[in-house]
Amino acid sequence: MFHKNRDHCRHSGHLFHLRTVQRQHQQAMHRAMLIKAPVVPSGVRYVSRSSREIESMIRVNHAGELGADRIYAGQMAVLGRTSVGPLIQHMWEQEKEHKAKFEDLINNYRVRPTALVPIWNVAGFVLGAGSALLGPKAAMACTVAVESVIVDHYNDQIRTLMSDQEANKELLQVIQKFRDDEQEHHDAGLGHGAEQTPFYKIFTEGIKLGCKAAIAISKVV
Amino acid sequence: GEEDNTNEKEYKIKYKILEASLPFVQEHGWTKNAISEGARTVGYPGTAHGLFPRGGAELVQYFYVICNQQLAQTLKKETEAADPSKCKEPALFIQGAVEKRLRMIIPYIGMWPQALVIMSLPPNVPPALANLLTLVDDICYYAGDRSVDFSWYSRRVALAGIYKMTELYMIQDKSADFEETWHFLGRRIEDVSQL
Repeated sequence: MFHKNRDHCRHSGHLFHLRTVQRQHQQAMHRAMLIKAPVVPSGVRYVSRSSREIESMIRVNHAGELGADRIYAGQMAVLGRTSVGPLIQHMWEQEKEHKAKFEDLINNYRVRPTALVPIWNVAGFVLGAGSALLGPKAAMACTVAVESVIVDHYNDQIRTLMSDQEANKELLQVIQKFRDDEQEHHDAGLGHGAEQTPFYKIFTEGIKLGCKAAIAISKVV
Repeated sequence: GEEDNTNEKEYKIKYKILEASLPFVQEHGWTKNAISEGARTVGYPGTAHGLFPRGGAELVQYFYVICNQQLAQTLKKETEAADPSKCKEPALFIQGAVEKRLRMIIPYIGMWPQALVIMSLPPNVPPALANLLTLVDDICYYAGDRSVDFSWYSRRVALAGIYKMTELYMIQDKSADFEETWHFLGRRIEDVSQL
């Protein structure tokens, strides 16, 4: 009987693998269809407006950049006059550019911005200032955590947009450039001793969880 | 792909029937009967109303959407053709846009209360709200609003309120060319002049 069970497990394992591949393929096809703008006016969207996917992407990216802008502002408020000041200032300038670009895109693509702007403003500043108060290494650790979530997030979006490179050219270029900038920030953070923060693992995991939650919310609200 | 093409064909047929049904609204109201009559005039059998499970609500929805599209195109042309030095003041622009949009209802004003009732039934509320949001978003955008923060929401909610109030005023206005309605609209916009 034991022998029979083992065969059954192997058989169902194979089926499970097939189904996962099928599901992934279906999800990819589904994503591809979603990226295209609706062909005829539906009851809700015009031909000239972007699809729900694109709208959600631009909205959440804008929310992310404005959060990042506020985080660096908080860090500068505490650590502006220390040795890491110039580095944080440099990263902050880049985030401001990113934010401005997404604000342009919101207007061009007629996207509804996130309704939680006031909340992200406060939360970002508090996170930045709070981590900076724990010391420059903790500030770097916070940067590393946030940037790693953002890089993964941008990579996911790039993968989705790649399904139609022609139609999504502008957005792809923008997100790819910004992803490279964020990766740079991440590496700079690591290079300045982020990992030497006490309780580094828990600290960064906590911040990452918060960021992922914020991303999930701003995709919709 | 192929699925898109079939969907597109289906939508084209549906919109053709709905467009042909609008002239019958005065007589039959926003109902399946109007859709049947319309279907017959474009060569489909009267039973084609079965294509529209929500019946009259789909006709109201269609009408709302094409009015919104017309308005968007008109506003777009207006802002593109406008002389930048003579930029129309936002409040005036918005007043003009709301008046234009409400005038599109005038041919159906007799049956409009029925349309409003239909759109306030629970299954029809989400698309009705979505249409309203699209409408006020277009008006605010072409009036020059480029905000990306919370004022995006406060402006549009305020304008939606003004539009709805004026619409309700209009359906019981008996004055010549709805003069009283446009005065009402002017006063409401003055009230919310921080738009």
